[in-house]
Amino acid sequence: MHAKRWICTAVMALLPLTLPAAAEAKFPNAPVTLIVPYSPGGSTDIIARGLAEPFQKITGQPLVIVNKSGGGSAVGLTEALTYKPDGYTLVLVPSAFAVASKLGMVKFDQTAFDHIANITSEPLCFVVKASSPWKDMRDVVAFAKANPGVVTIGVGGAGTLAHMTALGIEKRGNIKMTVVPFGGNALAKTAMLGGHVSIASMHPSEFVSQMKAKQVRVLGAVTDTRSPDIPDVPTFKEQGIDFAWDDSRWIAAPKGLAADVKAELVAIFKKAAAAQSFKDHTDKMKITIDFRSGAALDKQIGVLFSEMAEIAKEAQK
Amino acid sequence: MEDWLAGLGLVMQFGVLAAIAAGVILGTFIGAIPGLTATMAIGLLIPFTFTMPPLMGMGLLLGVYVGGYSGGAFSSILLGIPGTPSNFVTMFDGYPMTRKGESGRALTTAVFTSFVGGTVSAVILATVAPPLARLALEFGPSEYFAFSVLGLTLVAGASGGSIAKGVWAACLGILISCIGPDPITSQPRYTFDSIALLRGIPLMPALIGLFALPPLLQEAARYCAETQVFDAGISRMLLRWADIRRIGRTLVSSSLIGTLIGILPGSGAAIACFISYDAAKAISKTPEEFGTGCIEGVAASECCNNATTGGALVPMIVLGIPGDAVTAVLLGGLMIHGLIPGPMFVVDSPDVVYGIFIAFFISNIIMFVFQMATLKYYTKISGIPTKYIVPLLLVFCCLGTYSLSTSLSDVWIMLILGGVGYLLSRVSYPIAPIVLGLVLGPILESNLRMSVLLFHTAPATLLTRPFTMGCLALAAASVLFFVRGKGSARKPRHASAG
Repeated sequence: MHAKRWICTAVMALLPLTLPAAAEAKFPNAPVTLIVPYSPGGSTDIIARGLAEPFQKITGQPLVIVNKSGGGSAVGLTEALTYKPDGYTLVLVPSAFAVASKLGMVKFDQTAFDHIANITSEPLCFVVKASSPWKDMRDVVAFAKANPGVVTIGVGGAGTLAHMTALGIEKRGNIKMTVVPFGGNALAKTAMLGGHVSIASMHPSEFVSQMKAKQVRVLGAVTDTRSPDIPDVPTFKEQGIDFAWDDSRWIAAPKGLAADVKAELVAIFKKAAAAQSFKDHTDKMKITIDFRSGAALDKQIGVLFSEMAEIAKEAQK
Repeated sequence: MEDWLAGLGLVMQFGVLAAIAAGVILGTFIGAIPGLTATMAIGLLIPFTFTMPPLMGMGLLLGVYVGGYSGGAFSSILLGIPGTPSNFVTMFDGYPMTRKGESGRALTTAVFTSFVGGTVSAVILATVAPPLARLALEFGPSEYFAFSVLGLTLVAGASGGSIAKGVWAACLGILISCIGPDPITSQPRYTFDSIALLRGIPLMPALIGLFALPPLLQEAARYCAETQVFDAGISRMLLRWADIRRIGRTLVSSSLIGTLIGILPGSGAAIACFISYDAAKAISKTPEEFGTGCIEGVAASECCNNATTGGALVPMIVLGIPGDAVTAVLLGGLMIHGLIPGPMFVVDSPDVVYGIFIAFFISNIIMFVFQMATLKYYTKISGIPTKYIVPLLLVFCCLGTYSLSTSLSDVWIMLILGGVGYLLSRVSYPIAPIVLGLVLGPILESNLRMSVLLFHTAPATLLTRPFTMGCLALAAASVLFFVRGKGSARKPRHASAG
């Protein structure tokens, strides 16, 4: 044990002598790990893998994707915090982090990370069958006011962003619905198409085929402004419900990142997010690239967490 | 017809066919190794398909899907360890056959019936997918609830000896499935603030622990006593006409059950196999042989799990709704290429849709040829002396479990449940009902609670649900049937078994 430690110390001490060039070389001079808190093949994973190619082109170093799934995103986020904040271990944080934090699934909040760059945003939308009598959210609100609890809405799971969105709409729209958490968005969509629930909460990639076939109608999106992917869909804000957040994915590192490394990472991901290959990649998935860093990103995360705190309090009553 | 030809043109290219073959071979090995599943392999392969033409990528993934589901039978039959969750019913009769020196016959049956199941489901997929996809929509929470109640009554079939012990074991399984976030309120239950338990008990580590560890520990316990070598039974490698005739009825029922249950997005191959096994037992002329190593048992499970693959593709292609975990990843693989499954899929890109049908069909043929040709090598595994295979398998169990989500806590879950399984098997509690409870518990609970939520909004709907009522009636009938049948048929068997 002593010998091992001694050798380690010696090697560490000698490293700067033998590799002066490497020590001074620009960040990154080794492969960077990106933890994805979901399993391989899901949309978050696909976003991460789309970044890997431009990342390597820009930096010359590979971006290694490591999937740590489970507990919403709690397992991967907790794992990410066990690494040194040297910029070589990053994590792709989903907006669902705010739910995990405010519902107590993880014991930390946004201050545990240095937030580097927002990469994508997907609008969450409320979708009904084409045969539904409701043309927009105003119809739903009017109906729900007259019949509290009768509007049923399927979401992709308890404690998901979609679930909290439904609760947020209830609160800000001053209505009462019955929120039914299914085991995944696909099952919520199935139940809506089968008429078991009246509304389903979905992403554009999940309803675009049905929308084209005129089998479903989109009542609204929970974004601040209209999403460029679905420009015809009005936001909830436009329809008088003051509630908006994005279902985003952003890059973060454990708190304590050196300022120059952080600046370098922001520059790298700005270029990577703008790369044509990444654009093609996300276009096909109907996911909007939404690059944001610095104060804009902090504001986005701040709003998300403060809104979530309010709704989570309601949820736990 | 034009669309079929266009699809055929896309598939009949060297690259696509090679990708399918590579997928089948890879899937076979991954399925055969306990712990590695087709879902995981496909997830990891997705990035490689980014740069391929759509059908080449889909061919590779479909090959893994088909190969993995049938490859999982090998370890079920030869080692008594389920290769994937969907192969674990295969063990009921497959492993006893190996113990009787009939592993060759069991494997041939497994590969042949996998092929039949896969092909039947492919034909159903290609011909009547659109109307069948309606079935997925008919199933709401109350239907899934009733369906899983029906599944739970199969405890009777899965418990072997004492029904009371079977019921207790199933309850234990359901209790274990309660660990993790509450499905409706998302509050953590029985997690003791552990981040590892926050995501619940994952199925595959539980399966490996419950099924693989107890026999390995038993072998290790009497390691010094003797070294057992099973006859590999290579002489019986060919498919016999008598065997095919014997499993004929099973093939029909299992293909249909597999395809239909495969279509339901909220179920899964593991449940389908239980039901198919039970059905095969019910229509068999020799139901008492089930569980002792009869080929109908192997056929019921293997035919059914491959039939679910075609079934699961039905809602994925027609509605854009994945029928199971694998098709959920396949859906991502298609979207990467800008192809969005759903009602417009066949309108927008008919060549790709028909190409997928054809590639799926070809995957099954390649699977059959490849696995039949290489069978004799696998059976050699059962010839390895116990003293080598036990430590080797223990290592594989740990490695396989770890690699599922590169998490050491999964290995702990596997080891702890292995200890539980060992203790339970010492006091002759059946293990299979625990798994049935683990698989059905979450479906049962969440759908019951969702039904209650929905019931409050529209109470009258409960009576207008023929599926729900039908399934519940069937479940009640099966319990009654069993209780009444037990009185007369059980006594002599009990005496001879005891």
